[in-house]
Amino acid sequence: MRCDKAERLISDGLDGALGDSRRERLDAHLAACPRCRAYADSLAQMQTAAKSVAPLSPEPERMARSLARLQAGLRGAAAEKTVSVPFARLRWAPAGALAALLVAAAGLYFAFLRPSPTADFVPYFYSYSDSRSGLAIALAEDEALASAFDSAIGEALIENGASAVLAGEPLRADAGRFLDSLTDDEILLLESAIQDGVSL
Amino acid sequence: MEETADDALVERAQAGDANAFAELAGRLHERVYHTILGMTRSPEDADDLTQDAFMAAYRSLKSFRRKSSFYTWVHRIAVNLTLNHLKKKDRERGRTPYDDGKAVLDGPGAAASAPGNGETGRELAARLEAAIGQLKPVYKAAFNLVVYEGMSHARAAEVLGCSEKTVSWRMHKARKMLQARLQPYLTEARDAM
Ligand SMILES: [Zn+2]
Repeated sequence: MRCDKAERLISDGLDGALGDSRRERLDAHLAACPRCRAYADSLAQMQTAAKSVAPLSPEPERMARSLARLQAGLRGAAAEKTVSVPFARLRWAPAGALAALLVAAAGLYFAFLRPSPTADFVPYFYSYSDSRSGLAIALAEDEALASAFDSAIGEALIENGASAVLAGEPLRADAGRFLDSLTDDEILLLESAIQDGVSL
Repeated sequence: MEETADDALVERAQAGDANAFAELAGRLHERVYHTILGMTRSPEDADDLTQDAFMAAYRSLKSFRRKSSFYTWVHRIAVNLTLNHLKKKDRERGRTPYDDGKAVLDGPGAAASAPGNGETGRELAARLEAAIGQLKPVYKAAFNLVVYEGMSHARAAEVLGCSEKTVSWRMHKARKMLQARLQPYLTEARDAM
């Protein structure tokens, strides 16, 4: 086993995420490698230090105020009745430029780690001024838009050689993360591409 | 646990019953607040982000498809929001705190004691805390959920919306960066080198 692999197993071990066979292989490496033994020892010291800190606990009064504020906010939202999203719904109109951009962006996405495809779709509620919000909310709201978006990403990923991994896997759950993987400039490009082909 | 007992409430909330959602929010508020506080270390930010997270969950109830528990879903929205908040804060500060551990940890007290002697647990914990504050938000989030909140990789993966492998990798990277920063303050293992 190489030392970098051993370091990862040492970390897993501290989190209780090491099975018997990996534990045995790690132990064998540690027995022969003083450098990794020292590393394991320093991680253990950090772990002990972290566990020695009493968990942060907010003052009860503050918690009560926070909860009261939340309940008031929810009552307000319920009273509004029309729970409208502060964005116009976007209609999807695939444009060549956008498709090309998605292909390029999916390359970037592919460099990031793919979340579990079985996860619930979690809309990325960035702060409302954030440029991603409009897209994320539009995707969460509009099935047709989301599936067009997903298939564009899917095709791009397949072009990137990931067909075996992705065959049959829905990408819905990844839309938020996909957006997160883009730079602000790419988001701007993506937005203007959508705007160009979109009727509000 | 109570997550199953929440099912009926979730169903009512999704059907438009605002009181049912308020009841759910009341049950989950403290745990969500706690996670956010752990990540931000700021009660003021935790107040606002907790509010935002529940309001966001309320507005997007329809997109909750019950593939995970309601708590996990709300928790994940809260973590996403908090991550975004932290990223934004870092951008605004215009600093580059992430250097993969090459920099020496500075700040008050950093040079106060002679390195190499090892330190008392409390001093080390404080230095660790400061070093965690300088990690990238995704590493900070993983470290916080797994070490401070005691979640398994599987549970943290659910909350973070990523795979267990990703959590394992982030924990490894986080520890490597922290270890590099704290090295002068850690006791040398006797049999090392
Ligand atoms: Zn080694």
